[in-house]
Amino acid sequence: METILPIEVLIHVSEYLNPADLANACCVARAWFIPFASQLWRAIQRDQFSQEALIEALPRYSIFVRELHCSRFARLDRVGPECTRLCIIEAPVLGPAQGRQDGWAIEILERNPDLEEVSVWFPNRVEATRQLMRFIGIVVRMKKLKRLRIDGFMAPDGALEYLLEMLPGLEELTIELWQPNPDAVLDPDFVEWQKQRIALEDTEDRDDADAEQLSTPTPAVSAATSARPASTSGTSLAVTTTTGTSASSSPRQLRRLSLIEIEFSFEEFLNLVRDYPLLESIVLEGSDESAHFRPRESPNLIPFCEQLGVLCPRLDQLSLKSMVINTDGLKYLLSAFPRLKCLTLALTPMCDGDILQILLNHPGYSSTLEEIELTHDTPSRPSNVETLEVLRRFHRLRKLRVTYGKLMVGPFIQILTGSNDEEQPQQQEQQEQQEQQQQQQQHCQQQHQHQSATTIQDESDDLEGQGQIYATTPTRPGEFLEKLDVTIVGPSKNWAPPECYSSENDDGVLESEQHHNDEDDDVDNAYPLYITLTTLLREKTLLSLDDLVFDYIL
Amino acid sequence: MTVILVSSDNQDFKVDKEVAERSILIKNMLEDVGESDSPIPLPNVTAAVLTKVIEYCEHHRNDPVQVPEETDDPRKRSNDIEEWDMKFMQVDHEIILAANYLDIKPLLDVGCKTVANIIKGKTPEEIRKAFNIVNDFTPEEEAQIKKENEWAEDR
Repeated sequence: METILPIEVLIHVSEYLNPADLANACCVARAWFIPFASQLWRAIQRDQFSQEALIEALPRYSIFVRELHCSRFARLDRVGPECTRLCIIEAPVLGPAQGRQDGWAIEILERNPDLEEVSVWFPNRVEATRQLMRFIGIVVRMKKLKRLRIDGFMAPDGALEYLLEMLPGLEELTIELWQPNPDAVLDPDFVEWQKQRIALEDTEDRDDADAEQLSTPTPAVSAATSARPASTSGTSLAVTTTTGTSASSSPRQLRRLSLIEIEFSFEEFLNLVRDYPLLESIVLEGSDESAHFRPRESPNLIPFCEQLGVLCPRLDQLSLKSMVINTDGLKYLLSAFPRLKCLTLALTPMCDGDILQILLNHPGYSSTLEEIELTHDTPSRPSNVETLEVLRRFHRLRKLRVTYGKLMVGPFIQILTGSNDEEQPQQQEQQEQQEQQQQQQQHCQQQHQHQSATTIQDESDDLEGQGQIYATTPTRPGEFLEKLDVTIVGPSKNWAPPECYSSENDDGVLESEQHHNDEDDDVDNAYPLYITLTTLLREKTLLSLDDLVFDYIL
Repeated sequence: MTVILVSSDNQDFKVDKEVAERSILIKNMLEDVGESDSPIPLPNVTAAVLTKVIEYCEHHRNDPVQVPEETDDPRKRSNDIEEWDMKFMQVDHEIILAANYLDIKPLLDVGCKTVANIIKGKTPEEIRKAFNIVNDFTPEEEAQIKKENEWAEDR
């Protein structure tokens, strides 16, 4: 008996099928084509874009596409403008396609005002000069836009401010390679906005009777290297007291700001973030020219950090990569992150042990820190003691990665079992040491710094307070630990099964381990430390054992 | 409290209101009509199918009302059909049509999962055979569609 299933039922069926089955089902009959083909083409992922057949067919099927994640794909111009919604575009080809005024990508963007996520790459100055402001002109009308990434932001002065003011709902912004570009072809809306802005500033300035400012008609945020006001140090912090023109509206939603390979000064950065009281996460990837976080060389660092904390009280995630910073600089910067949740540092010229020590000394971090990732390409002083202490104190840690850290299996087991009664005096000792160290550091700092170290000074008082939190919070070390990227070291070569040491065949390790546990009781006797540790990790943490790295002392 | 449902071939079915209200269509109708003993006509459902649908609703009368689940995975699972439902569905697609018309979401879900499971791993020709469908594509059209969607096959 034949029953014709209606299209709404077939659409419902299509939701249960994988791509291969969808491809077969859409060939069955005309009535089956739309329900199954539309599901198959609904969301195109990055990796699927490598397939020539898909690219060939996309224009014909793009009507079904609701999400397109494509990588830096050289021939995006083949995507038809009938696409209804795209999620990500990283398109070098924004420029005019053959025989048409605009590139396909521009047309697609124009037809899709409901986009929530857009990512575009401008590969060179020529492309950016011609298309960037046109692109921004389109993007500012996307009122649902949540995430925006622009790589190659070669824009004229004020473009970023314009973008942000027009998109108050934006939650994540990534700007890569920000360079001033006075030659960029301007968009009429932007020109109009700039005029209004200047007029407004003029009146403000007149009110303030500040004649000096009249001569600089550019908006407040001037892109990097363009002639900075001569009185940099003098005006730097006045910035925060001037109210933004859009201050009357509800707070802008920006939560996450990433600046990659961008030259900026502290005052430019403050200018940028002052309208974002909800900012939670800052990601900075350096270039040689970017701001320095070394107090001695950057006299503005301390006031900058204080202002940052005041402007953005919700900051709790910090990621720095290839930044010029030293331990004092980091300490001050972290004072703007009183409830630090995630810290990621990569390729910074600091020693892991010193970084961890800063975290350990910081009041309150034991109840907030969830992720620590320290990555280097050059070996630094081993940080065994600090790594261990971090695990003992930061109970909420989910991820810990310390490239050159090592965990000695004995103390690690003690931490996990909580049997650190003997450890207690030692710990106190260490805390005292820390305090001493810190006080010394403070003295040094105070010698060459202003009185603004108040936040740091609080720390030594708070150490005991922290101890109390530690004692009363009903959590235990490792409770939330999901990822541990620190080598666990045993006392001799045969503390753990030999296959554990080879990192190549992780699967083999897991397999043999399970095998041992299931059937072979001898292993318990052969590797008591190893068994104790893995049992504890299984019981007390959320770690997946096959991701762990083991080693031994030679 | 009971309600009377009338099938397309004019058979009356006396059903507990609670059971009948598993169908959102009937539930909405009852709410619109208010307190009334008048029978509810279901012109799109035959007596044979309605018998089955009522059997399903009786069996699942105490199930909690389904809340639409929000998952990150856009593809839904179809390997979680209850054994009773599995046997129940081995009839024909008219039940799916009735579930669609009567708006009984859990029954429609089970039906669609069953259809999806039949489609899985089959070639287009095998699917046509399983559902008794006539191929109305020209050979050229079919070849083109096959070629355009081949990229999905190794996934």
